[in-house]
Formats: sequence, structure tokens, C-alpha cells
Amino acid sequence: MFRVGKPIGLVVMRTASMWGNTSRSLVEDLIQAIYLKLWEGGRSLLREFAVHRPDAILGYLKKTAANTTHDYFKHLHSQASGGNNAHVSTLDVEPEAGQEVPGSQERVLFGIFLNEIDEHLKHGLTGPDRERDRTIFWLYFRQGMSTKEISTLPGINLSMKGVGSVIERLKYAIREQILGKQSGAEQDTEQDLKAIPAPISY
Amino acid sequence: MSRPLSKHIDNAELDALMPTVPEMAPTLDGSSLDVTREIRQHVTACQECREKVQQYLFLVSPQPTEVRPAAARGPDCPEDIDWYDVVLGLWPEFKATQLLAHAAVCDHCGPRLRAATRLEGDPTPWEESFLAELRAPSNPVPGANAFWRLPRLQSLKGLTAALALVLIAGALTVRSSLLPPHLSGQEFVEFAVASHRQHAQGRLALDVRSDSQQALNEWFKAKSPFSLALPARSPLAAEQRPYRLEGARLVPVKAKTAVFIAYQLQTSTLQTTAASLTVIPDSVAVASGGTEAGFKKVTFHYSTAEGYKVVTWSLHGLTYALVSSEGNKTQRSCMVCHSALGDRDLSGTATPLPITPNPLDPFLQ
Repeated sequence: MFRVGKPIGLVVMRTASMWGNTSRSLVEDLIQAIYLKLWEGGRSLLREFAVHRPDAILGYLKKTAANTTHDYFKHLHSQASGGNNAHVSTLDVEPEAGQEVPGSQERVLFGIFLNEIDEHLKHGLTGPDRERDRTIFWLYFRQGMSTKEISTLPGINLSMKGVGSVIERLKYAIREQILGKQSGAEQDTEQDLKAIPAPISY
Repeated sequence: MSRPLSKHIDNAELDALMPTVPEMAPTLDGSSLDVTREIRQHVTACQECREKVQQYLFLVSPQPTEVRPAAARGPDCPEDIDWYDVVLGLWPEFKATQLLAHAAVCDHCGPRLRAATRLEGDPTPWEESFLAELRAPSNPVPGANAFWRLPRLQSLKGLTAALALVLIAGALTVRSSLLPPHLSGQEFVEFAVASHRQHAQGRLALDVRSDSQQALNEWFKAKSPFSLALPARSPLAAEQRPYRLEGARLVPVKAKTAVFIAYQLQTSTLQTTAASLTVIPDSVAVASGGTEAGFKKVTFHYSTAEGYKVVTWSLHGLTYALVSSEGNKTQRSCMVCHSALGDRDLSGTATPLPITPNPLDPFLQ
């Protein structure tokens, strides 16, 4: 348990932070509650999971930590709001979730421009990694995720540097698209995308 | 050499103006800085190039995501997705890939994915020091006095609440010591088959009868002690689906509650056969045994019990048992979820069990 104490603590601290509370004593108590949960039934559940899904045991522990923390705050919130609210799953409430704001003209135009770029990516990308590369591009530019964060996602299978290479390659093609090939490079889109070396895989 | 002022901006120059991937950004020396200055002079003077630079700037420097309002849920947004599960790799990779592709272009799901991803980053120096100063948790020794189990956050609510919790914790400890904590994989298979058989024989009435996933999901939300939902957006019209939902009920097991979902499976001969899905928290049972078909994130356990084909698996905190009379040449019963997920048709996919002659085969295949 010592080896996983830090990841569990980190998940608890960050999840609590999403709810606006990082009191040290609260984080300590939540960690204790998680250990209790993991120890239930003589750790047999934990053992079984470790046997059947050894690759996912750390994910299981982190998930337990996040859920326990979310549940604590939801319970606290429901008590504060009257106490009789039905239990909600971790899917129902997310602190970061916002409400839709009607789009400004600028936002609409930006949406149209993004669609044009996306069409360009859809038609220009080829090969077995085309969907992955398109995903990387938009996770970076639209969702604001870092190359490091993207590289850790399942199915990406690239190092941070590899993700950066994909982004640079696609940026090159997008620049060509925007510049309208005025620089004299009268290549078609597919060639544009192939002109830059493929990302480094690890 | 000086850059001609009348020359339109080219790809490399546009890049030099706004390198966006820090680790890929070129290091500019003195002469490069001069060229950059000259490019900017041209862009200032040239309307055409200015518009292109602005357009590119719009893409590579979008509004900071932290202040961008999250969008409302769209019609294509997947339901019941906990994005942290996706980030942790608890979903099958092919499904995770689909979900990521959606989130990448979705202003509703994207921020949720990003928030989940940020739970996973390396700790900052401040976080490191915070973690280092935390009190180490007590070792939860089974059978120890229940008082130590009281977290301080409860004790803050007062002595009365604390005493009540001690009594509850004590009662739970005694209860759990008297009852076996959970079913084995084989016991769960037997329980699911028994429920299926009882229902098929008319001895297990359903609490709710409906062929609508939405209606059943509403019922689960109201009645199920754990979070459960059937995928509810099938791309197929109801009459085209290879199954028809019958309804559901709660079934007690080991002082816990399982959810039993009954449905009819359509065979290629337009006849139907009963199938059921029994779901229980994985704190009660974890799928095991049988013939295993392992995928990266989930393992399916295939077995035969009392003439029924049973598939069990554990995923996202729940354990499932799918029971049917379907032969081993097909996996149509899986389509109760897979067709709504838009996955491939498993009607022609064989089960990893020996294909023995099944007297029902002529009707089922």
C-alpha cells in the first residue's frame, strides 16, 4: 500500500480541490476512508482484481479514491440541500461542467472555421493513424490539452515528443491550407501531410 | 540578407511567427529575430497576409479553455461516461479511441476529459510538499476496534453522531463477519442461471415491464441500489433490433441486491428465445472461471451451466452475467448493449466454447 499511497493521495487532493476544499485533515480522513473501503472483506476483492486485471490495479485504486472523494462531497452537498436527495452517481455531477452560453458571432465564425479545418484533416489524412492524428490535433488545439497529457491517454501510444511531432506535421498542412499554397508548393493536400516525417513512436 | 518587403508570407515564416508546441519551437538567433521583424512589417502592410495570420492565430491560440464556457450536451455525446475511467484505461482501447475522438471535437465532453486528465498529471512542487506532510493512514487490521475507523470529518459533527456511527460500524462489522462477503465467480453463474430459469418458467415475475431502454433506465435510477444504465441510443429502429426488452426486477442475493434484466432474443428464423442479464456490484462477485477471452481492459468468461450459455465479466465496478440458450456459433445476446453502442454486429461471431450440437440450433441459427 505504501507504493500507491502517493497516487491515491494525489487523486484525493485534486478531486477535493475540484470541490473547493483541500483541507489537510479532510484529505487525510478521505484517504483513511479509502483504505477502509479497499480493506473490506479481508482485501479479497482487491486481491481478485489484482489477479484478474494486474495491468489495471493502479487505475482501480485511483478510481476508488476519486469516487470516494466525489461521494463524500456529493453527500455533504445533498445534506446541505435538504438531506433527502437521492444518491447521484459520479457521472451526474461534475464541478467543472458549465452551462451553455449562446454563441456570439465570433464564436459561430470560429466554429465554421474549425469545421473547415476538420474537413481538411478528414480528407487530407491517410494511413492507419489518421483518426488518432486528428484526435491529437483537436485535443491540443480545441481542448487545450498538453502534449504530455495527450501522450498519457489510452490508444495514443506516442511519447510526448511523438505527439508534438504529429501536431507540428498537421500544423504544417494547415498552414499550407490557410496560405492557399501561395508559396509555390503546388502539392495536393495529401502530399502536404506526407511531406513531414511521421511522428516518433515509442 | 534582407527579406523583400513585398514578398508574401510563406509556411515557414508563418510558423516562425507563432510556434505553438513549446518543445518543438525553434530557437531563434539574432538574425532570425531580424527576419521575424521584417515578416511582421510585411504582415502589417499586407491586408491579405494579415488576414491569414489572424486566421492561423485564431486556430493555434484559441480562447483559453479555462474560461471558455462548457457547452450543453449534444445529440452525439455518449451517455453515462465517466471520463476518468477512460483516462485510467479502464475501457477497452477500441472504445476509448472512439470516445477520445468524440471528446476532441466536442465542447461538452472535451472539458470533462481534460478535467479527468488533470487528475493524472505529475504532482507540482506544492502538491509534493502537501502530500509529504500528510499523516500516514492507519493500517486497517481486520477485526480491530471499530472506533479507529471513524474519520475525523465525522467526529467533527459531534459526539452523538460519532457514537451513532460507532454503533453502525460495529453492527456492520458483526454482520460482515457473519455473512460470506461475496459470491465466487461460479456461484454468480449459478445464481444468474437460476434466476433466468425461474423467470423462463414463470416463477420470477418482473417488477417492471417495458421494452424501452429509457423506461428501464428510469426504473434503475429509482430502484437500483447501484448506478446502472442500458445504452439507450440504438441506431436501429425498435423493430430492427435483434432483441426486445421485457423488463427487469431486483433479486436479493447474499444480503445484497442484483438487477435482473429479461429480454427476448430474435433468431434468424424470426423466432425468439429468452435471454437475461444479471448485474451485481463487483463487491459482491467478480467474474472468474470458464473459458476466458481476454481483451486489454476486460476479460469475458464463457461457460455452460444447466444447458445455458453464460458469459460473465466485471467492468466499472459491476459484474454482469448474460444467460441465454443461444448456441456457440453466435453472440446475438450481446447485442442488447452492443447494438446501442454502435459496435459491430456479433450475430456471426462464435463463442470461444466447443461447438457441440445444440438441439435448438436449427431454430437459433
